[in-house]
Amino acid sequence: MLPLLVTTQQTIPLVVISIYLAVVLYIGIFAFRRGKATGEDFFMASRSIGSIVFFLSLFATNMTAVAILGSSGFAYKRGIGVFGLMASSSGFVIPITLFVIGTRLWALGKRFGHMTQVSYFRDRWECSAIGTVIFLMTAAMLLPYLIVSIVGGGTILEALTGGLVNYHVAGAIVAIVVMGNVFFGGMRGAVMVNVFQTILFLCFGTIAFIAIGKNMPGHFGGTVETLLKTPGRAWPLQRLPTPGDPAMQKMMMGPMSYLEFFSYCFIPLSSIMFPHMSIMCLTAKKVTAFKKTVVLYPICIMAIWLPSVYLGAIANGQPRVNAAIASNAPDVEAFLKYHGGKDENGKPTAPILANLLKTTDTPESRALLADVSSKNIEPNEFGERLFGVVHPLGEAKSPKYQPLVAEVGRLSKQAPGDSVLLQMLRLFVPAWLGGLLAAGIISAVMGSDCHQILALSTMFTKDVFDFYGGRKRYGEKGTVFVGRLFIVVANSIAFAVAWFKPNIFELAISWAFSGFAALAPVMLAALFWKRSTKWGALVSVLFVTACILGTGYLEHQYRLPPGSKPAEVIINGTMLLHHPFLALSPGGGKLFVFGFMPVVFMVLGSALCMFIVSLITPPPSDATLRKYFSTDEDLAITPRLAPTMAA
Amino acid sequence: MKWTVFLLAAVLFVLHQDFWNFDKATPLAFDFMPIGLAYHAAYAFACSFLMFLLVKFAWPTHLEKYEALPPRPGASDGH
Repeated sequence: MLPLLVTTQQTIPLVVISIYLAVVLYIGIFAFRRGKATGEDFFMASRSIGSIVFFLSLFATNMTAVAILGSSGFAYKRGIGVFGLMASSSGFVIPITLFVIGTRLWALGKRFGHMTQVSYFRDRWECSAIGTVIFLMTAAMLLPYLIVSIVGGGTILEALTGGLVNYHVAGAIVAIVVMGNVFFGGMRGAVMVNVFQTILFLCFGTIAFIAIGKNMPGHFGGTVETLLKTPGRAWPLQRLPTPGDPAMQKMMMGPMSYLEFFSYCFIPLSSIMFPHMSIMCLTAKKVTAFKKTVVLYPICIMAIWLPSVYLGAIANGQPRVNAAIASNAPDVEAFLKYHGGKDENGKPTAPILANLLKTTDTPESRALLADVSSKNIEPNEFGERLFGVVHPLGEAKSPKYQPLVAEVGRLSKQAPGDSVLLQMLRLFVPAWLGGLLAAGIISAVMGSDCHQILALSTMFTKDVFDFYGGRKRYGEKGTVFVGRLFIVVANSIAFAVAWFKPNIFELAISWAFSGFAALAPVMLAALFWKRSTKWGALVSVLFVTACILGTGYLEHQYRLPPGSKPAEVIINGTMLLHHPFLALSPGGGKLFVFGFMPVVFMVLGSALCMFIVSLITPPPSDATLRKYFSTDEDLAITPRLAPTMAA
Repeated sequence: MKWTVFLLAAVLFVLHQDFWNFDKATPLAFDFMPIGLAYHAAYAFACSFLMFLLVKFAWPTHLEKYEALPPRPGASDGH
């Protein structure tokens, strides 16, 4: 019988997460008991969500694993600028889109019974096939989310339990709990989970942030001071290197240009266009529910992102964290796998690190190299022991210290940075508290996953099944049954794909953000521009699709091979204002067009397509325009509305 | 007042591009937060205040009339 070594570090998170998952499932069943067997109730919670619950739920819908783990990982590689890049721009743009688009969408949903964006577009522009094209495009952009959520949930659960629950079992648990919650509870279940999640995460996140600051060597102030005092090491605390500081210019891997920073302001336009967000807008009981959401949104987004970004950035000043992250770099994984020897292609593994460890020649480094060559060492253990080699050299002010630190720094930037927050929790926070926050992180993944899967189900049921006659044939109960069946089928497919841990979907998500942002002009035109037409919408959607495919092709075709030294790849060198026409960024291989991110041109191009094509094609009928653009007096509940409502 | 708030929104959007903070980390706010991060944390509060003004002075009150509409049991997708 094999000895099973289970540590407190593994069991406490497992116990806490198990309790959390049981609560999520129970919430689904509780919501099921309170629900009615109608589509309006299952998909929309009968449009009865009150203002506080609406705010907490809408906020949680947008608070994904990207916001928590991704932001700290991104900040670890690019510094504190990530907050302005992604969070404060969202704090400005998202509430404005909720204010302008969300409120009007709510009103039209309430008046005409729309449940999805496509059902609104179809009615507003008198079209069916074009609505189907928009459905296909939005569904294609949302589907990768389901897969990534399961991959992310499985990976995080595996990491948090120290491998006690393997990836496949962890992924299955996440998929089953999410499916169970949404299957039974529908929108009401998803909303309740989101409220639970937001409260849980805000409470435990605050406690964990304080605990990390208190337990990390040097605390926050000391860590920042160390970074500032060491030549070139202050790069995570700013966005561009200090002029005349060559050390910093060399160390900063992904400087943030003004144009990139500006471009990112367009990305949050995607938020309201994500189907799960726009559907969420339709569930409010009153339009006044938006008031609290709009005002509190910027502060709440700051409350989540600021600690995550700050911790990610200053982790660069914690050698123990750097060593832990470096131990997950592909080079080090190969080094451990091949016991410090050559890989299957005869290439030496992590040659610089191996050489530095040899020349360091301390008892710790000799023991580490001997153990690597003779037995299997887990990355976390290797990270701790690597730190054990580096730390005494620093204490002794040895000349061997800096080259080893520099190599660990280089390897840590090769590794997936998303683990930085989890590593800080593991290293600086007691296991019980780490377990509580772990439940918070898992809940963030699952809360948004619930909404995404429900949104896909709503879209399929309403935009395809109902639209093509399913509801007429099978009635209201049949619609709900199909919605539930779709949840099971979509989740099973997503789990089957997630089984193989594909990477491509993470890329697809980054393109989806640009794609949904570029659809915002289509929604704005539908809501506020009478003259807009279905043909304008179709051309915009096709333009956006072509841009996504083009971006995907260029990023895939021209990216540097894995393990290459980071460098800018110029695809087309025609210059404008010192920027090449098409280039891939040195840090992440992202496409830039004249220094801007493609999303800028996608949003502007989509708006232009909508404008020009609408002007040269016939508008919808007068009856439809009157229906959607009646005056304020008509908007009141007059007898004229009665036939529409009865329809 | 509504247009003043819109103008304020435009100003706040421009203020997001704090190019003067890009290449420096100091002074530190509260002795631990780099200036570029502290600026954007303060910016979030400014955004919240702007939203408060928008809600107060530019709220689409005409949409509140829909609140009185009764729930539509079994409502379809508007067709």
